[in-house]
Order: sequence, then C-alpha cells, then structure tokens
Amino acid sequence: MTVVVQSPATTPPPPPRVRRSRWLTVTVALLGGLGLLLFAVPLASLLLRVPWVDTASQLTSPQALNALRVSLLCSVCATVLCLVLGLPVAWILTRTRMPGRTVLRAITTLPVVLPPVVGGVALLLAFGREGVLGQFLDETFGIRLAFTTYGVILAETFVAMPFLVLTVCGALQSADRQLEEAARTLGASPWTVFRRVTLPQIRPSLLSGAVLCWARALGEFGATITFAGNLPGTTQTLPLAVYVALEQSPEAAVVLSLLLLAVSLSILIGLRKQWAAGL
Amino acid sequence: MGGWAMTLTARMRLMNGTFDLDVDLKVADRETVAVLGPNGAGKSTLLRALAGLHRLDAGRLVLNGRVLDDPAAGSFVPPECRPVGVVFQNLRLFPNLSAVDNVAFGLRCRGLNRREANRQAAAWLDRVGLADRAAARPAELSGGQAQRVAMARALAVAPEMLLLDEPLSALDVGMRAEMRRDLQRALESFPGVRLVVTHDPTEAFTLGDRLIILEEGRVVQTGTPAEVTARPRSQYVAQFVGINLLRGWANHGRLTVEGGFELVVPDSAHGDVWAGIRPRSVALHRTRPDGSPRNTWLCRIESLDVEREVLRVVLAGKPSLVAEVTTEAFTDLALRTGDTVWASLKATEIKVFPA
Repeated sequence: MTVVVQSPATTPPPPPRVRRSRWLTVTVALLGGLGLLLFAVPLASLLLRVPWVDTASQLTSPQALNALRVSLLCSVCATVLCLVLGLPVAWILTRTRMPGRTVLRAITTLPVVLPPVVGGVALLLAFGREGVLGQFLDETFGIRLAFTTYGVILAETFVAMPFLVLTVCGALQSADRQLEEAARTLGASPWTVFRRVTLPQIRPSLLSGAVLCWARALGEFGATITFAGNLPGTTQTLPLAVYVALEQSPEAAVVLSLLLLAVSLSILIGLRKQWAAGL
Repeated sequence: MGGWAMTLTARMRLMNGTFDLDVDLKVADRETVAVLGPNGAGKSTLLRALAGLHRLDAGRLVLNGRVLDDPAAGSFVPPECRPVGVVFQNLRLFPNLSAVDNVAFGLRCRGLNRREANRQAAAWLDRVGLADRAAARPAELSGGQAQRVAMARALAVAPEMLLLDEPLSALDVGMRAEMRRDLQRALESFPGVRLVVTHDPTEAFTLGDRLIILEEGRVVQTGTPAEVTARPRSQYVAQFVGINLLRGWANHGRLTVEGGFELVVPDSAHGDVWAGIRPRSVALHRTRPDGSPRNTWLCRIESLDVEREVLRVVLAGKPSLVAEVTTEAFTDLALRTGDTVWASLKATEIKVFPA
C-alpha cells in the first residue's frame, strides 16, 4: 500500500481556534443524542402502549406461556451447544496448525453477516426432509430436525455460534502460553493445563461469549421461521409469537414484546454484575 | 562417575528458523553447570529442549539412564513426564493461584490429594521462609518472594534435574546478593543435576562449578571459572572475564582468603565475601615495588595467553590470579613462563561483595 503524503505548506499553520472544538462538542452531542433517541423512543412507545389492565391475562395466555417456554428452552440449549461445539472450534482455529484455518475461520464467522433467512434456507437444504443430511437422518434413525423443536435449537445455534467462536478465539490468542508451558514442566497433562491454566484465563471471554450467544438465540427470527416453521407449542418462539400476534391482536403483540424485553434485560443485567464485565 | 550417580548426557541438534543449535553436554550429579552466553546464543532453546518444550531434530538426551529425547529412535518424553524442575526467567507463577496453590500445583498433577499436596506445599514454603505468605497471590509478593515461590514450586515435585533460567535477572540489584546466597544454598542442597542458564557472567561465575560458554548455538569453551578466566577462547569471554574472583572472609579492610593469606581490601563489606579483581589492575615487576600498592606478593608465571595486543598472564602464588599486561610492557620486562615476578595490586582496585 502506498501512502501519498502532501508536501507541507510553505505558510505557517494558523493558530488553533477554540471555536472549532466547541463546534465539535455540539456536533457530537447532537448526533449522540439523536442516536440515543433512536433507542429510547421505540422502547418508550412500547411501554406506553402496554395495556396494563389486560397484561396479566395476556401474559398467562397459553400462547404466551408456550412461546416463552419454547424460547427459553431453545435459547438455553442453543447456548450450551454453542459452548460445547464452539470452544473446540476456537481451539482448532487458534492453537493448531491445521491447513486452511483462514478459510475455516471465514466460514464460521459467515453467519454473523449472512441474512438469517438465507441461513434458514441453507439449513433446510442440509437438514430438511429432502436435504443432504436430513434424508439420511430420517431414513436411518428416524430423526427429523426441520419443523421440530430440535430444528429451532439447530437454527439458533447456527446463527449464535460465531459470537462464541470469535470471542473465545480472541481470548485464546491473548492467553499466556508461557504459563501453559510452566504447567507442563510441573507435570500437568494437556487436559489439566487446559482446565487449570487456560480456562481460568479465558473464563471472562467464554462467559461474555455465552451471554452474547444466548441473546442472539433468544432474538432469532429469520432462520427459525424458515427452517423450523411457526407451530405454537413446538417451534413458535417469542419473536415469532410477537409477529403473528401483530396481525391478530396488536395488544397481545405489545405484551409479548414487553415479556421478551423483560427477560432479555433482566438476564443481561443479572449476568453483567457477575461475569460479563466485557459487555 | 558411578553407575548410579545421576547424570545428564545430551547431544542436541535443533533448528529454530534460521538459527541452529549444536551442543554436546554432560552434567554430573551434584555439579552445577552454568551455561553462559550472549543474548541469542541459544541458551533458552537449550533449556527448552532439556525441559521437553522443544523437540530435538537430532541427537539424544539421556537423564540418569532414561532416554528423554531421541528422534532417530522415535522416542520423546513429553515435558509433563520428565523429572525436570524449571525456574523460568520471568518465574511464570500462576496469577490466579495463591503461593501455596502454586507450589501444590505440581504435586496435585502427580496425583496427590488436595490436603496432602497443600501440606507438602506449605512445608516447602516454610523451607524457603515464606510460611506467612502462603495465601498471597503472586501479584502481592515482592520480587524475591516470588523467586522463592518459583523455586519451591520447581523443587516440590522432587525432580532429578533442576533448570534455572536467568535466576537473578528479574531482581533489582540490591536484592541480588541476598538471593544469590539463597540460590547457592538451594542448589547445593539439591540432590541431582543442576543447570543454570544465564547471560550474566557474575551469576555464572558465582553459581557454576563449571561453565559452558555458548555462542551462536555452539559451545566455544568449557571449564571451571578459573580455567575460563585464565584462557578466554573468544572475544565475548575475554570481555567479561576481565575479573578474578576470590572467596574469603573480610574483616575491617583485611580479606583472609582460603589458603591462609591476607589481602588489604576496601573496608566495604564484612564476613563471607567475593572479591573481584580485574586482571589489568594487577601489575608485574622484576623487583619488589615500593610506594602506593598495598598488596605485593611473589609469584611464578604459570602460562601466557595472547589475546590481540593484550597478554593474559596466569600467576601461581598467594593468591593465584590472572594479570593482564600489554605485550609492550611484557617485552620490556623480558618475562618468560616459569619466571618469578612480583605482583602488586592496589586495595582500591579490589571490589568486595557479600557471598
């Protein structure tokens, strides 16, 4: 890369002006305020439109409770899967000399930028009834993933895992390898080294990665509706329930949104205090 | 060397990028070998190969009859299975563990239960004088305390070989004399193969029974500190061995040296000390000199060694020292090996520091 440097001006630079920095302050304040409003106004509108009288009955409706159950179950399962599968992936990407790691890294991070609907289609082509793997699984083991609760978990894992992999990759790269060597000279097996030396170092990143994963899984919509459908009680998660309710009774949609907001916020705040200092 | 004595026999060949190491090494039981060399000479690579953190490309590593690494035979013992204790230059204590848990780490890895490991670790901390710091995290320890914890951690697993990497470099200068004494004591009481790797000549000369000088991945010289001082075999060695070391007992400006003779020294330290004397501050005379030099003694010229325009003269006498004179001065005095000469040395030219 070449950098073109302009030849310095022959005239001496003008003295710095105080007004310029004040303009900068005003501009930052204006734009920042606008940005904050962009968050605050919709959230406030949501709260203002909550039909507080009906809230209790709406919240305890079978539709809401089912959606909440599916959402919590699937997002938690997806987070666990992300941890179990994502940690080894991060390890392979950072600690081995496997060929094609750069390509692999690109593939694992792809779901971050991929529209979730496209991810859903891809999942359908792989694990759907006619899919490459789906057909095999169905015929051999009688396992169906598409349009089942397992499908929801798979879709959420698909979109959420990159968050864990990226966070943990960073932590593994910055972890102190010298401590791992010291542990080995003291007689620690590779597994003990990981458990007692590496893990304590990457724990904060692992936990914030898991929280990010969970948040992403909880809010998942596109891939879920494409791959798992929208069946109340089995695959209808809270975001899907909100979308459906918006057509039939907007009030119910508002209450369900409030529920989703409350769940996300309370868990994020609760975790932030204990672990997720990086968030 | 007896058949049962602990020994290290190593033929090490390894490539590390463009750098290659080619070293033959033999260390006897209860012998402290100091590997000395400038930065980039391959000292760390050598230490890492001995610890198993770096595989040999060729050669053979045998400790007490057990093959640790032999690429030709396809055998390699991983670091966790080697009876080797390492104290790293930057100590590498586990920051999230207390001092006692750091020491207990290796014991736990060897299958001891928590209680027994902690009991033994506490005993080790007691031995290095840190019983009251057991609960402290490494960040709360002083440099000297951390050094002792690292030493206790390496020794706790009862290794057969102890490797020290620049053991004093992490400490500030004021701490070194005290730590050197502690290290010496720890090394002397360690029943096995001891190897110190360092770029600091003082560290090597005071800790090592034998020196191995390493430059650019090759051994350029081996021998006792006295031998290396007498006949430096490279520019690097010649630069730093401008020093004779005597061990003795200092008392009010008089140093009683082993062998029962006295030197007048600066009244700066008392008790068990090292006295450092630069060879060029030792002057040679045909007749007994009079005047300011306060130490004069008669000695015999044992051997001569030319290093550029400087002659290194090995003197046998009380004390036996190496003197450095210009070839010009030497010719003027018309000295030959076997001649008897007067040596003189000003008290102020002797540097005395605690042993």
